[in-house]
Amino acid sequence: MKGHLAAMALFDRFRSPLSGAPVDLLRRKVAQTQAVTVPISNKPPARGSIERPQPWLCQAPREGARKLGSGPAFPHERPQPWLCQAPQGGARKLGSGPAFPHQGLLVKIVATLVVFWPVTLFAADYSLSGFGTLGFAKSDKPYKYQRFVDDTGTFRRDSVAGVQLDAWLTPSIGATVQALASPSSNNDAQFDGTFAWAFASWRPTNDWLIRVGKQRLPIYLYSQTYNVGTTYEFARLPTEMYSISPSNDYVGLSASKTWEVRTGELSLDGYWGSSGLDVRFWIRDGLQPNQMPSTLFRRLGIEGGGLVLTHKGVDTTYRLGLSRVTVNEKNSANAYPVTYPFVSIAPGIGYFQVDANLPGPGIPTIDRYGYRTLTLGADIALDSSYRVITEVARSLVKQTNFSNQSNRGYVALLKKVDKWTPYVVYAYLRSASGPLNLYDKVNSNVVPPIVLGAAQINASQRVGADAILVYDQHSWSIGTSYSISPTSKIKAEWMRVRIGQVSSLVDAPAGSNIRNQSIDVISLSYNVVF
Amino acid sequence: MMSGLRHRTFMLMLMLLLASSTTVAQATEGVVVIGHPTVKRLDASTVARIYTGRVIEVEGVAITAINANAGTAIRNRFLQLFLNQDEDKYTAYWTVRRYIGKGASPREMGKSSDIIQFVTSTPGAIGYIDANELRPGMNVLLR
Repeated sequence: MKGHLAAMALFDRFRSPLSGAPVDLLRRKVAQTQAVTVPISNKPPARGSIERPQPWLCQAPREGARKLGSGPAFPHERPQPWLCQAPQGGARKLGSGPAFPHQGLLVKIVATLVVFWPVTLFAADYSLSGFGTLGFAKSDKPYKYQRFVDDTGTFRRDSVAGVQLDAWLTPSIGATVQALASPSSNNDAQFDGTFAWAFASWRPTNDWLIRVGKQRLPIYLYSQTYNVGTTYEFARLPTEMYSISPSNDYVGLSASKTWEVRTGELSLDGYWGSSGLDVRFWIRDGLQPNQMPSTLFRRLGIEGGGLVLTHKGVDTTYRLGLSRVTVNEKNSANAYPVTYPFVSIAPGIGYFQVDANLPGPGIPTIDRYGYRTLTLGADIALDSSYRVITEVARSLVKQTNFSNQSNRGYVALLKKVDKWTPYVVYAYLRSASGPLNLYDKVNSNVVPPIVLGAAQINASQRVGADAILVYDQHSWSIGTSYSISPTSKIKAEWMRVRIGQVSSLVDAPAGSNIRNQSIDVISLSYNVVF
Repeated sequence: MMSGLRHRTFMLMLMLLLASSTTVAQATEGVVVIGHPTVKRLDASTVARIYTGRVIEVEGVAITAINANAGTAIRNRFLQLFLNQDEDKYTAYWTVRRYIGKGASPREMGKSSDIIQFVTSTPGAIGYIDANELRPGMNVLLR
């Protein structure tokens, strides 16, 4: 009862900062319980509030679904984490794509031909090439790792195909487009077609290269050839390093200057541009009983640039990269959350305000945040057969806990034996303490049943925790590649991933926490270029 | 005693020098880099940089390099002599270079007669042929 009174006091004190209306589940329930008439505001929701189109997780359940449970009568009666509150221009629910799943891909292939066929007619020279990977991966766990991998096995994680057209109007002026078919970045059920590269280039001298258009970031050793499996020996580039980049491509301008030095070649790449990024969230519990666990995608806008210094020797490569980008909500005036404030109900009892409709001081927000990344990489031939490859990265975000700021890296030892290249890799990924601590607190905080609406607050907090992308994992991999020819490779790998505190790369089953667990993954792939 | 030792050392060094000279002669023997008259003589380093895409113009002349088909003996010899690479390594190099958006490997031709025809008729073109196929009047860039 004491808790109820405290909650009532809070409800009178705070209003929802988004809607401006003192309407929320807790108040309604408490009011009903105490037979107090609570004036429900008729004030229309503010811009950016609950009237906006919302992803499935936040939409009103269909009539048929509502009959199954005792869910709220109105969609805005239940607390909604910030994740559910933005306009979802880029968000897409499962199965909401085109009627024909590969329609987008076909459209892009046709568009490529239409646009570039005239180019080839005028080009002094052109070259068409392609690549593909057919990859199978299977784990020993029933839940998914890296979107697709579970104990049933999948071809979706590593399979990809692409074609590339290079055309030159003169030896120094050219254009390149690469069309890529791979699992959709915003839908787990579809393959999608994208342009990984689509740029015009000008090489005024031997040492300068200027490009305008869509390009891949050069910050990691393999970030530009990520999808071309024959360009590296690993069955899969270390996820801990390569899956956490805020973006892998951009539309903009790049300039590269090269110097011949005594020890090889030194190059400095500068780039500036913008891109969109689909961020995937796994909502493990949903909001039962109306909403099932599933994925939610959120579109972010990224703008910025960086510098990359590379030294290439005969058998060595060293790379240093610095990037600075700003991240905001794509196609949205919505602000980005900073943290979840804790609302105390009684001594030792409280909740995190994961949603603006919950009573509390309001979720602090910012319009955008800065994301700085430092990367170091080295590929060193120890002798004619042994090789060490290592990369580390540190990303820094000061303004918000809702980012994937982290420390990550890997070290690999490879030995070439004729056509075989066996290898062992250790990789790690750990989020910064701010996001990890916030996740841990929100995820573990439980409002006791004595508080009315506690079950739904607790459920909302778990959804709110799922909206924080956090990682604490490392992995060991042992594998080999076999070079069938200069243009094709077969690869096999066994990997053991150890999840520590949490990992957003894991789709935890409803009601569970995946922590201090190991996942074994076996991967096989055939990789080819032509 | 010392004189004898110095003599033997000198002879040994002379033999090594001769042996290395013979090796170089044998290495460059058999492969000749030819070019259109617009292209002047090249050194081995520049040839290597052209065939790895790092040089596209020499003294203001845009260069178009021609490779023999992959797997041919002349190409394997050329790669070994001028780039110190085998076919696997060369293909891997160009696969990466292509897919980081820095161009494509030189155009390939199957017959040396096609290479000669293209090189002699295309300003800025260079190629390589077997020394036995060298004819008077060809612009030899490096041999």
